[in-house]
Amino acid sequence: MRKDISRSIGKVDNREKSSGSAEYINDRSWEGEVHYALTLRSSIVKGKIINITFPSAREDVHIVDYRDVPGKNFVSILEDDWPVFAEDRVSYLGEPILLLCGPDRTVLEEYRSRIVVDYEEESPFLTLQDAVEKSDPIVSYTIDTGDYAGASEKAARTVKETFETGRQEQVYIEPQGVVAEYTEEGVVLTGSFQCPYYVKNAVINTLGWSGEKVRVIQAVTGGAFGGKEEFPSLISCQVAVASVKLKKTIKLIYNRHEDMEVTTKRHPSLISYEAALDGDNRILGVKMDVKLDGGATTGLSAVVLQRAMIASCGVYHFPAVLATGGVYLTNTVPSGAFRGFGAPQTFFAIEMFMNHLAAKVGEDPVAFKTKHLAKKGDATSTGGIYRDDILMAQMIEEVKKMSGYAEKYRLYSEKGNPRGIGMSLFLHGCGFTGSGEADHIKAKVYLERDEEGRVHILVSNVDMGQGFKTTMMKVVAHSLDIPLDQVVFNNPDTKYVPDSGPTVASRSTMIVGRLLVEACEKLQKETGPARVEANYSQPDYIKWDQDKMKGDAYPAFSWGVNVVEVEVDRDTWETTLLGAWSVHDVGKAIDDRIIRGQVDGGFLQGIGYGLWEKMELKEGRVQQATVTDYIIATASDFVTVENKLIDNPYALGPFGAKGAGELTLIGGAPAVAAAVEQALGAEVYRIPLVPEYLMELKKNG
Amino acid sequence: MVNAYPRTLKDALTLRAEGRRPMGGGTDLMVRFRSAAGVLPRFQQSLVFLRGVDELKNLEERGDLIAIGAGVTLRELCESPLIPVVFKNIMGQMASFAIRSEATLAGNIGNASPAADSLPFLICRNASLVLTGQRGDRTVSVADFITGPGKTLLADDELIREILLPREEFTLSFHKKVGGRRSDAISKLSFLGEARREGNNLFDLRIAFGSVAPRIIRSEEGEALAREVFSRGGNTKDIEGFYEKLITPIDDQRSTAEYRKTVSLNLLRRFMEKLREQ
Ligand SMILES: Cc1cc2nc3c(=O)[nH]c(=O)nc-3n(C[C@H](O)[C@H](O)[C@H](O)COP(=O)(O)OP(=O)(O)OC[C@H]3O[C@@H](n4cnc5c(N)ncnc54)[C@H](O)[C@@H]3O)c2cc1C
Repeated sequence: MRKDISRSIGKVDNREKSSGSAEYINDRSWEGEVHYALTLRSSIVKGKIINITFPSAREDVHIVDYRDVPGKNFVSILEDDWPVFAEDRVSYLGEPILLLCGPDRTVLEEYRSRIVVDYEEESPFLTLQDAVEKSDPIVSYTIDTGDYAGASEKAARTVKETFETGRQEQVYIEPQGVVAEYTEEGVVLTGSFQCPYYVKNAVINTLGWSGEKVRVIQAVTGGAFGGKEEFPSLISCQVAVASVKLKKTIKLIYNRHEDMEVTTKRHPSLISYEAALDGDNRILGVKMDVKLDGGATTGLSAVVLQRAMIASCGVYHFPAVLATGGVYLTNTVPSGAFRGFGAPQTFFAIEMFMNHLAAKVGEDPVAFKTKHLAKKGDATSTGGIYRDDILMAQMIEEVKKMSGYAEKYRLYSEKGNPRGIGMSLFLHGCGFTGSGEADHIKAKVYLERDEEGRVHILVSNVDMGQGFKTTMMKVVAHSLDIPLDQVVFNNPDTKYVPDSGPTVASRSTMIVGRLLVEACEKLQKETGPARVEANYSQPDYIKWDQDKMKGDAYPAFSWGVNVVEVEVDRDTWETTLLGAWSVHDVGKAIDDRIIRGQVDGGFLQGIGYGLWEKMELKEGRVQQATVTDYIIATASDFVTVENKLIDNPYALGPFGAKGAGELTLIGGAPAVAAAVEQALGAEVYRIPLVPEYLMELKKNG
Repeated sequence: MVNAYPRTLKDALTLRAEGRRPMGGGTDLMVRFRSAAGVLPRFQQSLVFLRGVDELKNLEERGDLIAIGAGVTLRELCESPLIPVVFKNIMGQMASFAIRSEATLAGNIGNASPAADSLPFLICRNASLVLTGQRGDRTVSVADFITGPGKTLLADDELIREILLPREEFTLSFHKKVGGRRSDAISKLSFLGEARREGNNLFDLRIAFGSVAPRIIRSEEGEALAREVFSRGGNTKDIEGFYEKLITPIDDQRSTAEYRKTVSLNLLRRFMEKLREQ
């Protein structure tokens, strides 16, 4: 019998990462002369560019702007509204206007400081509230499942609450960076990427070139969290244009401050919930509304909104759901992809709402939640079906045992006790929403056996520290029953790898891993050197109507339970973590320790989102634009997480695996917020729960 | 820009007199003058790097004083048996291990930030500085040395040579740094209260607030009032009322004025409660 695949092995990149030999994009050296690029940015929030006055021209400073774009001057995402370079107007502070390129960065900096841009300023929308009052959403959806009107008519009571969440910054290890090399065959882009083919397609669009002439290579990537999903396409288009114009290698590296000021953030949200309850305090239906702040461009906001709305029911089954949502544009830094993709906002709201409802009807929150849990065979929020076993009841029992939840909850309920304990229940749909995998991504993988019998994994998904290489190499080694060192997985290079889709949406292990298992089956039928491919096909039972938001939004769901225990200091209103516990169902861990890494990091990032990570804009400018002022936790702020994995193999995942990348973040904020509520003895409707806010809450009752 | 790496104090002073700015660990300077990625910091002045000057690395008892050379790092102080525990705890909460391994106490003073975490302690303990220049040495108290945010009495040809810390005993030292997180955080505010109480006799009481005014707040009048309130078992509200006027914080990206003020006063109250309970 083969050994259990979940047994941890050392990550294949451990040595290069821990010894410091891994070369991130800024560590690499390049052949020939390198020109650096610096970005001239809008210094106003919104308006027309009237005139740009440059210092006298210099041979070692080259200007690259929208007029140099041979193809289309926008980043190809969903809508064509994100300019590669601003033309005659700017719509947020820090919007890129042009690049200065040259061999000496000090010269470029000095030159940039003397450029004068004249604007005609216009009055902007600085907040979501502002945009909601004065504009229409740029996209909106409705989910209408069951009969909410009927439910609310029958209801014994209805309860309504509103929630608010802020921005979050990814703080990946190395800031954004990309290098474009100009070669005879075309342009080669190397950078810190999550989605090499997104970059390739964007550059093709902007250069107006054919695909063969654009090659994209992923450099070692130290974390991304969604921040390297769509943003790298923008800067890659910029350096590609510069490289083609100047016929030079162009290197663009952000420093941390610039990165924090101008790259995409998690969407701020306003979420309202209304529940219709019957005489026995059972929820007959919910009505919810999500408003997202898209920042200055549409970007991926529409898809983020879909996720936020599909999560409307949390882990519960409500007979009727009426969810509406819209994305509003404001003149602020673009919002974009971030681990969880709309779900963390909604899960904060639904979990707090359920706690508050329980309190209103005088029930224990966990008991109240448990009686509403979705079960196998129930309809999802979009009228699809939960087809697989749901083990939440068992997982709740497990986490209660691990954390001593019941005892502590009782103790901390005493008035004036500075401690609190909170539980959150959550899920995450794995893979692209709806038929995205089949209609848009159409993933393809290659597997190749070479002369020496080594097997090469050829996919476009990346390891960005999450352990994807190790995970896929294990999947292939186990499937073919060969030693791990016979498997090769190099960083993706679009010259060699097919488009197996982006490294996002908790899809890579489940979807791409599964395709590799299929490819292994094919390869086993071949002898000697051979290349096989596998292509994604959607299970027949998945039906999705995008316009109506109806049907099976995801082929599978991963599930989780978090418990957080805190103490709130009554003099300083600081929250100290005392304990953190979690139980997850990710199908089957391909590697226990790698999942453990996702749990530790995701949980902390989720708690940080709920507790510390405040990012405010003042007159359109990010106030916390350094790691000094933006409070991501350090090791000394966290506690050791006690985590348990429950096996619940998914038939279509490799070895039963489902997604795990985003799931682990989602429960952090609602769990810590529930704990803080108990410690504080006051209800919470907004995150992050920074001490300043807790003080205000307590003071104003 | 040519930077200089002297090995002796004499050379350091010569270079200093040429108009170079002293650099200790550089953990303030390098950050303050940072530039675009891959571009060297843009210092406005040339530097004299003090790390190589062994004469500045002294750390010893000298009569009633502890003398701390300007080249001694925070980490070395945290690890030294000569340094009072309360001060070690304060420094242990500054920056992070890596930064503390480079940063000097002299640099923290020289930076003269209202948020510098060593200052409430040094000022509470009446620490002084030996400043040395080509014309010789002079001694100034830390309280006088810092005249405002980023402003000091340091003359253009002078260096901080050492910090002199009186050796004193207190029965209660209550310190609290309030930052956004436990390491690598700049203080939103900080509080230090120290007292020597034996039975019902209160021999000494000192109070300092950091980060809530242009300078560290320490007031003899306030401390006298606190002693008096303590002796008659009075209400701490009076003391809070007194300090409330001195605490003039700002709103910034790290916190709000209201929070800083309220929490400072809460900590003062907590200190007085602790003193009573002692
Ligand atoms: C990540 C990070 C976290 C930090 N956290 C904290 C914190 O929690 N609390 C805190 O208080 N500070 C903090 N700091 C600031 C800094 O580390 C401290 O102020 C440190 O003590 C400065 O010492 P240094 O030797 O590095 O100073 P330098 O940067 O070398 O110098 C600072 C100033 O002092 C002057 N100076 C240095 N030596 C002398 C001398 N011998 N004579 C005269 N002038 C001199 C310099 O000219 C300069 O003006 C942090 C900094 C960083 C980068």
